[in-house]
Amino acid sequence: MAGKKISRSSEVPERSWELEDIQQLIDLLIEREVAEFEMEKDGMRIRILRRESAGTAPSAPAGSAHSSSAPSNNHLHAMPADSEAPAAHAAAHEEAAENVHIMKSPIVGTFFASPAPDAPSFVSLGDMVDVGQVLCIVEAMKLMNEIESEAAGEVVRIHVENGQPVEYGQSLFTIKPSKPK
Amino acid sequence: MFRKILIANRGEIALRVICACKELGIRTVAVYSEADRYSLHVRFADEAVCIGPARSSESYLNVAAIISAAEITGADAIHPGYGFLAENPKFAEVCETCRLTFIGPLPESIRLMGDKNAARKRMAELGLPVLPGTEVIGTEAEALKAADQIGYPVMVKASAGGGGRGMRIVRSPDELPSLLQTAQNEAEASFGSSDVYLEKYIASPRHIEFQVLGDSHGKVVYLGERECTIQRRHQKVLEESPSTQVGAELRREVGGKVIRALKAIGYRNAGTVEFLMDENRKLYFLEMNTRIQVEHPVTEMVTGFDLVKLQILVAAGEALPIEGETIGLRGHAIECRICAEDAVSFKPSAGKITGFHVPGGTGVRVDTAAYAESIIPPYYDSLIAKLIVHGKDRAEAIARMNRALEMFIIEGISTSIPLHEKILADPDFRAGKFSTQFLNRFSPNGTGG
Repeated sequence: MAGKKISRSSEVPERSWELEDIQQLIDLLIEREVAEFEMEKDGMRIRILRRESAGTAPSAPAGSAHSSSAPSNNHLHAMPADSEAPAAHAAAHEEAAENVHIMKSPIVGTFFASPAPDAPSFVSLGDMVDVGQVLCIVEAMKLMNEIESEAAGEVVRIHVENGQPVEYGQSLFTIKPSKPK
Repeated sequence: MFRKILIANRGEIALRVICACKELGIRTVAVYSEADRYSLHVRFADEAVCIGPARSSESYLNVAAIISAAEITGADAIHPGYGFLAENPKFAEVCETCRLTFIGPLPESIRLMGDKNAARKRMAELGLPVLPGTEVIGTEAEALKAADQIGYPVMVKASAGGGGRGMRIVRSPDELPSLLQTAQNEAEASFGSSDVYLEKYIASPRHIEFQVLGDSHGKVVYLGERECTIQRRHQKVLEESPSTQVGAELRREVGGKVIRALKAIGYRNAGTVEFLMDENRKLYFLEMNTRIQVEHPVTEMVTGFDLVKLQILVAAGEALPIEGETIGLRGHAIECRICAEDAVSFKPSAGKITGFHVPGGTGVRVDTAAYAESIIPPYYDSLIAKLIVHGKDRAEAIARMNRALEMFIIEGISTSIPLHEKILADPDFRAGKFSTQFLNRFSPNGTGG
């Protein structure tokens, strides 16, 4: 559904929210610099709050690439009628709908796409990866933790930027398995 | 002063610390497990970091995750709340190493008071009254001799213990050998050390505790005492200040001794010195808790001081804004711990709160992280809310608590509100006549108390 426009509420078709819709909504809100948004539709309530960026961590290793325009922490509070955790819900939804595997961060830390500041990234969009292949590093307390892929297939989405702080369970990569799961 | 504080806790105490920070203009970072994604402390903090799955060991007790969260958010101090890592000296040391200020006592104070036997010994040396007792017991013969000297009944207690485990009451010499053995085995299993000591056992004690605060300039003060005698299985249910059993004379005498002892060990930040009181109103040092406690609001209501703000100020190196050794107490305060449990069977009751209305009005305070449609998860403690009232005297406080309990609506789960109403209606409670056995009268087996 790439390129689908967000319709006005009166034009929204009667079906449940797809992850794509939520992502497009977020992109639109970022683009328009909307600070707060709340809406209820089709048994799901969505509230999106933009907070200030976490800022650069003073203890970041020298030479790390910190972009000055780090993305804001959008806290998505989607509360479906049966109050399931939405991140898991949305991730499971994406996984089920499109047969993909989402690699999530197992620890809190800072995401690095490459082994060193001047080295090439471990993986790029479109790369084929194997189970156990190192996808990235998450640095925590000065320790570089290599994150290994749990699936074999194509890297179809990279959710985070180099130098971005990540929390436990945060989506890092979407991998489309080469064999059906 | 700190720019940003990370709160290494959850629920009502995390919210409590956030309140103090907001009023001081300090930014806050909440950490949360996946089970707490919709918690109020997450919502009201300026930033929030998910640190792990529901299990405490992988989230709120996960030192690496918490320190990492402090690093990526640029926090300069950590408030540990109560429980979890609050009294973990290693965690306090890790904070120091990572150049994060731990808002609490020095690691050596935490370590000293964490060893119950060592704490008792040290406090006795420094002039606090303690129950007659022994060092770690070596042989059965030693135990028999000591028990004889102390006088039965005696308690066998685990040195590394707490929470009622590794403890046995011995009423006569015949019982001693086997109970000594059992206590040692239980201590080994629960705490990894079979070290036990003997102590005089008081059959119907009261539990009196003194709130203290120390700063980094050598000042230590006490802020009155709290009576926490109403307990079930060593868990406090209701607390009040002042105690009906502590007059100004006793308060001054014991308070003075507490201050001298704590100054001698260089104690800093908040703490609570716990005593047992016998039938003759004599106080004996039991143990010290090196943290802010659940029932701290009771002291805040009778002294007018914000203890969490003072913790933060003291940790930032400021001097305590208090003249002299102590504060005058005004009026009377009571706190009821409202838990998610059946009021008769005491079985825990997790689930979704469908209706929630908090009482208000003069002299009523509610500290809670619950809200309508919130879910009480099964992974953590069952405390839903602390209901605190203040009145000009004990009678008014009791009447006010009654009124507030009646107007506190919590629907969807069972709560201990009916139990609290029974306690307040009890003639012995109203007369101030009770011991730690008090709640037995309401237990399912109906044993007297």
